[in-house]
Amino acid sequence: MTISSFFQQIKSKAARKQPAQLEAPTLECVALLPHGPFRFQTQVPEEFEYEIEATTNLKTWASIFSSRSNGKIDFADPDAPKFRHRFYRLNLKGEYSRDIIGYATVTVPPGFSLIANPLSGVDESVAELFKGMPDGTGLSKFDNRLHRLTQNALEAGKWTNPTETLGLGEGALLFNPTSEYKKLRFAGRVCQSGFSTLIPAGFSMQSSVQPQPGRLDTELGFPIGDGDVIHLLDTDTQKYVLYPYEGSAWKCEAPVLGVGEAFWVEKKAPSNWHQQSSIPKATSWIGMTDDETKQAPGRKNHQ
Amino acid sequence: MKQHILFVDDDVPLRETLSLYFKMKGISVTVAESGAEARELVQKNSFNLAIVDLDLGGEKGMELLDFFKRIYPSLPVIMFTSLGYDPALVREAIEKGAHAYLSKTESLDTLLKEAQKAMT
Repeated sequence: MTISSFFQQIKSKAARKQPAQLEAPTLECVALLPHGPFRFQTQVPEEFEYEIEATTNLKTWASIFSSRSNGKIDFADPDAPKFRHRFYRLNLKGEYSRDIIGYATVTVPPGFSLIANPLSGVDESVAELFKGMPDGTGLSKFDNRLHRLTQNALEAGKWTNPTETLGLGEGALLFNPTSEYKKLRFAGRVCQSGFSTLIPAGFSMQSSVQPQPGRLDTELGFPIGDGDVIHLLDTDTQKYVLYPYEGSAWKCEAPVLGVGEAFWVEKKAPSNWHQQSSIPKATSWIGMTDDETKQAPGRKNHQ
Repeated sequence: MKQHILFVDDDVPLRETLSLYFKMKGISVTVAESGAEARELVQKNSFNLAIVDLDLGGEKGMELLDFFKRIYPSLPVIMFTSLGYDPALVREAIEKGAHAYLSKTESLDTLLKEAQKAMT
């Protein structure tokens, strides 16, 4: 059936019967299971055909599962441990779920790491985000007012500041007290709306809201200006690497950020970092609730 | 009694990270962003070591070294720089009484070891 014939059918049916406004499904109960798989749940009206699509770059999507709904969908991706980060959406014959959800794995070596939470989660408290880290772990955010790092430490299984959170766009210095590499696993929603952050003059700690690696200025859209300096922490050598920007160019090479990596910036003048997602958010679509129309309308361009 | 370091540097990321590292190792740290702030702090507190950035946002760290050695000759001072190892600067710092001359490109662990060595 073509899109135009489908909508003609909707219109002709609408003359006889009131169409039902169906909300795009929301993906819920996002969780990384202890042994690796990523799991989520959602509700789709019974008998609707659906596909679960996955991506690592938020551009190219692949169908990884398809079925007919019995009302509730409870999906676990057994292949999740194979990917450092992976994101999922529901495709109902060309209409997509309201949100994109997924996970990102960030490896923290012994010592300090500049880390970021690349996804929006239900619980962004330190106790939830850094579950499994040992005593002696430290988390420090930069207090822009006092120009000091805050201190939060895990002692006898409890954080000294348990209500502290690490939200989207924030950065923190994490201290891994062991001599082993640790894996942090973040799960949650991908930011699909525009996001604007005020970057103050002077020093601040920042991170990208897009869970994608990339060159800070050209790919992640950071507003760099003459005299600005980016500081990245080389976690292997535990040294800061400076990236000065002068004469409208990087003095050496351009800084490239990894997923879940934060950075320091020294700005000469305040600026706004606008991060616009290329993935529009689904809202609702019109569907009929009888058997004849238990499929979603034709594909819209969401890519 | 806890050892106490005065850390004079306007390079916030390294200063704050290193301060945090020192604190985790049981060393107290007081930070100053300028020479004027450092002069005030050293009059009100007792320090076992001063770490001084050579280039304090236009102010010369070498002048602060002069001040410390004149007023507090027993206070060890480590000069800290991102300018690399300029032999003339190293010689000048040592002649003026600096305990050591370190580059910011050293690892945090090396910096900690040098600080501990200066305080023994």
